[in-house]
Amino acid sequence: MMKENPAYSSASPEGDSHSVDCAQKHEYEHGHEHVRGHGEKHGHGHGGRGHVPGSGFWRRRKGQTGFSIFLRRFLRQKMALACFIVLVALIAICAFAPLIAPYDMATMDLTAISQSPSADHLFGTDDLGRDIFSRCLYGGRYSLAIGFLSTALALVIGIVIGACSAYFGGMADLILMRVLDLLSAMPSILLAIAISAVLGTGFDKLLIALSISAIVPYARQLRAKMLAVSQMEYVEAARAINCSIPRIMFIHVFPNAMTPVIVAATMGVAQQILSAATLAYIGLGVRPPSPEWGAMLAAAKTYIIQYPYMLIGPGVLIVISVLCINLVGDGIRDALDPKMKR
Amino acid sequence: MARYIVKRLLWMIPLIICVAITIFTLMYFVPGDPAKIMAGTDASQADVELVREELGLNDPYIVRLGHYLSDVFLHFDFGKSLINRSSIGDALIERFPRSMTLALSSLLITLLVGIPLGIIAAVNPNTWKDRASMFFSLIAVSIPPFWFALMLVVIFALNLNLLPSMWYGGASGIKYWILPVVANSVIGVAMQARQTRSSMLEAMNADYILTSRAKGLSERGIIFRHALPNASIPIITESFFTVSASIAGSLIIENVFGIPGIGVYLVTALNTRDFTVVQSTVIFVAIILSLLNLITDIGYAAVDPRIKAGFAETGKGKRKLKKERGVAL
Repeated sequence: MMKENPAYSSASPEGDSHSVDCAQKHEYEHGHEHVRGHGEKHGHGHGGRGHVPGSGFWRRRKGQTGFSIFLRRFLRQKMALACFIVLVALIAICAFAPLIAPYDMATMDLTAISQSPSADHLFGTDDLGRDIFSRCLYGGRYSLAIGFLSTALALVIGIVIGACSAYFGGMADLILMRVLDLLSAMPSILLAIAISAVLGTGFDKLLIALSISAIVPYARQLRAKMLAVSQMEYVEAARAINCSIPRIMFIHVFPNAMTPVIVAATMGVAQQILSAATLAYIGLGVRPPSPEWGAMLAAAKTYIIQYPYMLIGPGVLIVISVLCINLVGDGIRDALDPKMKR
Repeated sequence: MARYIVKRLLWMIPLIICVAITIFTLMYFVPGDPAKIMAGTDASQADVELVREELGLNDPYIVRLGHYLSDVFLHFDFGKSLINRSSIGDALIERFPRSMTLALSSLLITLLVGIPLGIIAAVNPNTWKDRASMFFSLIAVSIPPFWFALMLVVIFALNLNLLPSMWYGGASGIKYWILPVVANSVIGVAMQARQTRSSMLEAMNADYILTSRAKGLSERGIIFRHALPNASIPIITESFFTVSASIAGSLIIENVFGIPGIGVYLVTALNTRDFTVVQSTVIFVAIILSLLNLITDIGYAAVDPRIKAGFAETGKGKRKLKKERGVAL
């Protein structure tokens, strides 16, 4: 993002350079790599370079809204669209698990313990004779919900912190950025481990731990982008016609600074699903009787020598959902990228 | 440069202390009485009181915090385990090399595989090489590392019998490290490849590359003499990020393979509710990471003059600039 923005480089060596540079660097560090200037892939080949950012995308035809343009551009990307459909299907299947699942998730069938995958039991059965496929469907409710909810929560807190930091500046900015420094002094998974150690296990506690551990990149990205955008000519123009500062910030700067944050949040959902599974695997977060995907893998690990197939179902579902979210995120990024052709 | 390093170092000290205070405060609110855990389940009330006095649990929060901070930062004493009263510092020192071996070897693999993969993809855009490496990267960032590690164990240790599935006492030799290192580096490789590819693509599109082609330089010369150095800053940033990612990753991967490093220590302590160990281990890892971040920041400043320039300004000049510019806007 930084490279696309000529105003940014001029913004950073001027005042407040320490925090801006730090924010820039940390954005590299913590943001997903998908977000960073990766759009060059598409810019390359059809003359994306040299195109004035924003000129094509925002010139609206009659009856077009920003969202309808975005939708049209998103729908044109077959891969992202396919992944979006798969993802929606997966969410729907998990949401309607009680109607779809062939077996009850908790019913133990002692005549069918540790069976390999078959027509009756699609993913086999576990050590207590429970159908793994049904448990996976119920488990998806935990895993997917935790991914989306914790990202939403982190996004809201991150936006508030980032926007306050950029809007108020000065002391508030300094304090908020130091708080973020503190949160980012350790990798997010370690922070999540420390917080869940205090809170204990359970869905709500996992949600809090994962949300707090994911705030930093959103806040930093939004702040850096808002500072960069507020150096652009159109903001200067708005100031010249005597717009109030809140109006400039929330009508002109904020919406234009949200794009990288939205893209990062999409990828963040994938990251949170992986983190939730990792926490469950080491015994935090959602605990085994609940069929969360990571918790199922943790339980299945005990039987890795005798019944390795128990690991396949939940693992494959994690990979599919994370992969689809990543590809949808790529698609959203490209659809929001003004450098791409319409 | 010296000024930058000193500033960075001075900033690191309060940061680490604040991290320690935060973790201490978090652990202060953990439900459960440490004295009871330490005294054991069948201890009498008097025994528990004795342990409580010994641990200083009757002191107010601020006194305990002060004691803990002075122990950790002045005497390098990380306290004692609640379960077996062994010294946490000794355990960390004993386990640290194993975790670092895993983290640093995965880092090495990440750089040795990820960067060439990215370069190959970038110099052959939209060919099968590009698509294959990007497809690999996409899959690799979508797999939970611990699951990938378990799958490696199932395939290479249990089915093919090629490599050992577990690390065990006194085991040395490279074969014990292959699966853990592969499992820990796969995400890093993917991210490094993606970053390298996108910054190389950008560099390869620049006008000076056209100039070098026009004056008849070999393709190899163009890639390595002109494009790569100019693409290097994001690549280096990414590898810095990989350092902390591979340390965090190794904490998890250790548990899959039973490598007795810091990660196993932490997870065991979590499951036995040994919270002094959790507290000290998290602080220890945070200190190690801050030191590594410091090194990487210095390296970053060495390649990116803008960072160095930001730090070279005096505080006064910065304030003045801010005043002139107006706050934030």
